[in-house]
Amino acid sequence: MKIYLILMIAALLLGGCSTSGPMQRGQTTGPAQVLLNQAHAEAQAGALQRAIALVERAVRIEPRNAYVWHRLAQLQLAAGNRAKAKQFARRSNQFAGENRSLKRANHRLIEQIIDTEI
Amino acid sequence: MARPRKRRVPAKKRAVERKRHYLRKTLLFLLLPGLIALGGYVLYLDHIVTEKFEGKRWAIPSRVYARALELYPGKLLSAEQLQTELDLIGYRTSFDGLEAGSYLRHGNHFTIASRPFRHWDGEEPARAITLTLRSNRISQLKGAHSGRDLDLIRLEPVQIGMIYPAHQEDRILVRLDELPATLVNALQAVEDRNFQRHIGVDMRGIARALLANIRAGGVVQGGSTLTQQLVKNFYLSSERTLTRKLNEALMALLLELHYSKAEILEAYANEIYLGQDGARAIHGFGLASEFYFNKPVATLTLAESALLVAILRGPAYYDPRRHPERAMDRRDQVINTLRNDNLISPTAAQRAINSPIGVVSKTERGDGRYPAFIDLVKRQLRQDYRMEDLRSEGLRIFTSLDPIAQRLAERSLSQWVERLEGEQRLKSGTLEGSMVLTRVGSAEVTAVVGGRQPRFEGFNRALDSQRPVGSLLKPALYLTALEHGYTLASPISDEPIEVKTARGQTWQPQNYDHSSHGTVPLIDALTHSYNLAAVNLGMRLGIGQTVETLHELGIDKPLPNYPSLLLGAVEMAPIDIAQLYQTLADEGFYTPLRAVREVLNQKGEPLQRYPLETQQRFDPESVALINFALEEALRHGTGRRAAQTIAADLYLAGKTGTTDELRDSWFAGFGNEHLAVVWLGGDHNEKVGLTGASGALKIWREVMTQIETAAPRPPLPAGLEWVDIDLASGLRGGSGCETLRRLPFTHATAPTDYAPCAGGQLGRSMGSFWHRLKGWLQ
Repeated sequence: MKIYLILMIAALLLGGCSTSGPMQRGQTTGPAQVLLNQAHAEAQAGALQRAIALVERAVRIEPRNAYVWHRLAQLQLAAGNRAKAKQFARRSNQFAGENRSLKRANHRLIEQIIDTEI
Repeated sequence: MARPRKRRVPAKKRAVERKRHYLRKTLLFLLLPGLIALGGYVLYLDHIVTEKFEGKRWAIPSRVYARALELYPGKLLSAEQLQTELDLIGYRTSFDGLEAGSYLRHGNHFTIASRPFRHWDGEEPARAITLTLRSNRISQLKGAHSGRDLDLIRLEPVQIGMIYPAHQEDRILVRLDELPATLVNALQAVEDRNFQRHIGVDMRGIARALLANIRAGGVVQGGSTLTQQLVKNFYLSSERTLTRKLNEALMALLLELHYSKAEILEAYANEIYLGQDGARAIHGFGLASEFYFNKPVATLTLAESALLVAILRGPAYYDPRRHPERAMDRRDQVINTLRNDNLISPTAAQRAINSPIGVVSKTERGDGRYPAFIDLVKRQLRQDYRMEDLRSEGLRIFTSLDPIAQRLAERSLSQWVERLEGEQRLKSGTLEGSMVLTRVGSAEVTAVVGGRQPRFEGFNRALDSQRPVGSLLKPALYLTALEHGYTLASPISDEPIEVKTARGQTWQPQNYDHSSHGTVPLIDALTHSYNLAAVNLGMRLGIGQTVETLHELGIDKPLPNYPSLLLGAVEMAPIDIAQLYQTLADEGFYTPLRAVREVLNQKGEPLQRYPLETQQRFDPESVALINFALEEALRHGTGRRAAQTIAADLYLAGKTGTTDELRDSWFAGFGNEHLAVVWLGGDHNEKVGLTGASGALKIWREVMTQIETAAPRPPLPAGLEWVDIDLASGLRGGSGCETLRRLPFTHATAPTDYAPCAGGQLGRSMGSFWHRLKGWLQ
């Protein structure tokens, strides 16, 4: 139980870290980016569910935007939904194309989840 | 004489006293239980009065909303679609489009003043914007006042339905302090002058009314106080008996004893009946303000407030839409009363009297327009909510319905059904149809058409019509094959086959054209929907494998483990097929279909969200190959004739489904953003003479080409490799080969040997390849 808690906190911290990581801005533009910015602010304020709802709006507008799916994975991880986070990271990979840094970020996220599962 | 007389008097007196005593005793004896009973009765009434007033006073229907339309530069949207959306929201046209809840259209240019709206993720403030459309896209989006470019605006969603309590009363609850002072003043001035002073019953009021009625020779004034009116509506039936009148008076006294004037007035403002909208009863000033003036009650003018007070005396008789003059006359009387009481100035009164009636025409609201979709919403909600709560808790339910797509789907289906019915010379009304539309990625259902008469709340074919699905399951079979080492180039036998069934009978499947095509590459077996190839391959793989794939793709129900399943001899509803193809459209990620996004409570606070969920169930590369084959099926296979008119740069993929004796016509498929399933057939399983391509596909094409953004096929997964294949041999081809096709292969699965026509060795032809393949599988 203790270990699980520590892992949860670690996941939260990492999720929080990654929101300000190199992937933060400039990955996408237009309405999806507006929503991602809003989601970022909500997540910073601790309103994760609201942040997730905003990113889902971005998914509706740009269903094939790899970065949007990646953000969804990050936020789900921060919310403690590791299984969901893993699936969204995989989905992000599908649309990542030649974007290697994004693919790496997704793989890191998946590995991190798998590590905490062991 | 005197003595006895004297003596007699006290005797008489005694007798009288005795009598009196007796009477008093009897009276007491009689009255006491009466008094006790009366006291008990008053206590009983008191209990009724307080219990309802303290508890949940009203059952508020739940409101169901469509998706909110997101506006941003580049969005695909036509001027007609935008106007339809604005009309459905209930926005009026105004001269400058700058009054909240109104818009102005000049061709492709719009000015829109939105109203504030509380969404799940926060409040969208009221805004005034200008918007220009070019080539069916938003080319410019600006603030109307600032002139600054805007990135993203969300309109308020169209209300598409309500889930009513049994009595169909509707109301928007308001607080007393939200009501304009003129409305509150007018209400008291006209209905109950002594409201602030009386104790629930107003004797002077009754006397005054009586006098007025005698003078007029009929009932012109009522003596009921507002408290009595509230009691009558709130607690009692509408019968006119003396007992009821007594109860009313008693309860009014009790109500005043317990509660303040403000509380009573607020309850009255929410309870009062003010009009009728079909089966829906309009109660309270909050809703009446929206219903008659299309604006919040707090913003009502003097004239508008006076009109509401005017019509409450008889909402049918003074209906301002049907009897505007009558309603205006009474409104002016109300205004004059206010002036005579010095509650308003003579100039304000004159201005109000000069103003027009101001009632908006009844907008074509979304309520009741989408019975098939609402049906789906209720089914999703019933997993988490009791029907009773849906009917009374005033929930605000946000769904994924896209009214623009829904309208398109409805029109297309209805028109084509009519036309095809004529062409097939079917008896009028025989041909039915249904359709489900979803979004790729989010798996949200955007439209549901339950039949050719989409407004009719009857049998919902999209959800409940279980029909044989024909070739629609074949992608699952070929996906199974790809996951077991086959490639799109793998040769598949399309030779006749006999299958022994469990009951010892022999089943001989047939191709649609009743001929065999020899050995064909796997991709052609799928794109041309060859039955013999499907059965040959399915039997080789084992039916159980395909059944498992179908479950993984999202079919929940048990499936029969017999060979005819391969040809779709299993019954499913269009929504089931939509789920199946959704997993393909989402490249192997199973994403449960959803119609409800969020639920807010009556106060607009977040209650529940149905988040996006997804789960990878297939290798994306295998699914990409199947989707490539489905694109080919539409362009060059069973769908080719209908696909000729589809723009070459539009990515669309899909599969036909046709059942025995042309009883069912199906098409299921998707593009970059949307997925659609169309079914046509007869409710009594009549022969309708349509194949998937000659029926359902025509509707599918019409809808998809209008809602899909012209965009090429999404990039195939990076691991795929393109190789030129000689179709005759299934080997690598070259310039010398007659039937050369470029096909995608997953990593290290493309044939390595060259066909004879491409300079390969003769010995390594089709036969040896076939043997090798068999060897792998064994």
